[in-house]
Amino acid sequence: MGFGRDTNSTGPATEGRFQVRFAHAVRFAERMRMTASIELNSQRSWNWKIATYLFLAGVGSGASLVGSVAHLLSASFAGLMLAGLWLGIPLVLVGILFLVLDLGQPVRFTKALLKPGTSWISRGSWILVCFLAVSMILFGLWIWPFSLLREVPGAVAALEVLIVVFAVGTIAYTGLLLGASKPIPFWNTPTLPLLFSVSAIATGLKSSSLLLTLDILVRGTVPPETTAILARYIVIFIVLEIVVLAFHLWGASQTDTGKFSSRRVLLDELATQFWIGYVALGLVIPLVAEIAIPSMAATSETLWILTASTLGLLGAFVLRLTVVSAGAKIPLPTFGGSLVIPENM
Amino acid sequence: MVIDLEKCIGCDACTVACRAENATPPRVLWNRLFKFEVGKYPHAKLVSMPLICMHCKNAPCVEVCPTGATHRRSDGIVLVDYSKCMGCKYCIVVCPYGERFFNRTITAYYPGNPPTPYEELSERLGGSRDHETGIVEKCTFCADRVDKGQEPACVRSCVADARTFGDLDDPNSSVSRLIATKHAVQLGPELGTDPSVYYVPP
Repeated sequence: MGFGRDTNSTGPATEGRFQVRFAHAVRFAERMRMTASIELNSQRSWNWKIATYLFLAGVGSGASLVGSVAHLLSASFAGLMLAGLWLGIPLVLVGILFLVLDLGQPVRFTKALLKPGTSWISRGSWILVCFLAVSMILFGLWIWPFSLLREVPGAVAALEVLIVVFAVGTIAYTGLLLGASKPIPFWNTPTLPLLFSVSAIATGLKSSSLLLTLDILVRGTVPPETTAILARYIVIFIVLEIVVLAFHLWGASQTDTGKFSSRRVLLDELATQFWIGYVALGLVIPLVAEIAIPSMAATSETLWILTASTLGLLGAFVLRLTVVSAGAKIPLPTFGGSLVIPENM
Repeated sequence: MVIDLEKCIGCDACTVACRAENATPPRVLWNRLFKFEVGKYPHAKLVSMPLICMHCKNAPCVEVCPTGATHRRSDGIVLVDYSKCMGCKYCIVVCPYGERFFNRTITAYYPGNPPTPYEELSERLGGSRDHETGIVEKCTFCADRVDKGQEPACVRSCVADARTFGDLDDPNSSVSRLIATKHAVQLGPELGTDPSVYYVPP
């Protein structure tokens, strides 16, 4: 039951400076605990497998979205569009694999398509099927007998428009999936789909930049303009992500339960992964690097693009993991009190 | 169902009867009893409150279930069709009452020993007594007993006569009259789930 505040003793007395520091830490922890009105449980039904899926689906559809939008705007971005397909199809497929592995009955996964009327899992499954189908058709146009179809006017553009539609669907639905849970205030916000969307587009840009740079390294061609343009957009989207993140944490902290989740992320057990894994490695270092890249020498430029993109991707995974782990349910109101219901797992 | 918290003595007979009836796996209880304090000294008192699936009219679990395994029968009982459930756990995530249980693994009651005759019998009887791994289960309101015209096991076993089972749609049923006379309330009405379990406040 959640009413009892933890009444940990201050532990055995120790000597010297350590004792002072220890007392400080205990006092700090006690203050934290007092500001938290009640101790809640974070949900444990969904874990790292769901976070991995949310991450991979975000990167894959983000890369496809970036590539298709760029190619629709300018024919010079054909390489970026193909990079999007090379990333989108396998990453989304592997993501779905993690989603299926999280099921208690993985062989029944096709049943997920049965109720798109009300369930976000069902709707999302249809979006993923459509996204993969259209991506594979477009990819097929680069395989020999079908490559003649590329000459059909508007065929590529039409497929790209469809990819944009289903990629936006995939990106938005990952946030809506969690957001549909009304009892979990940290998820049930308008800012979570927005945060996941901005992060997905940012990871799409970062993964495309990574793939194109590796391509340049392997095939030794002259660096194209594309990576420089990507770097500019990565900066814009990281800044956007920081703003949306701040809004999300602020908005989610408007309720007691949401505040508990935010505290878990910012100060308690998820703080290390959040501040180091996400904020420092995933946002700040890539941001600084991407800003500094244009003024670098060619070799260190390549190195930094690879580092910034990889760290950015890692950070995006940590974000999903943190958000999934931080979700806590509103305690059940009971005759003037409230009851924290334990999750049997 | 109406649960009278003025009458409940917190004896856990319902908890045990539920397990006996439904043979739930170790560590899984579809009926759980919570005890907590309400009010401030000198008017504080200890309340015992059994919690089961609320069989909501607007059940979030029915809404989010992607396979249609969780469904609401015409009589209002919310059930899981075990053969359709794929174990995505979305229903657990959205249930505000925490009344859904995922069978990650099902261990024997006495690990290292052969199953007891009771466990063997449960498996043979099937239905809500035969538990499968990898799916989500919950209180069924003892649907098979209700179909035979019997009360749910927890209602039958309550020593304090705190539980009443009946038809909420019938204004003259015992439950409807109890709700009117004893001002029974739903838990978390603001959640908009419209539960079918009412509690007479302690």
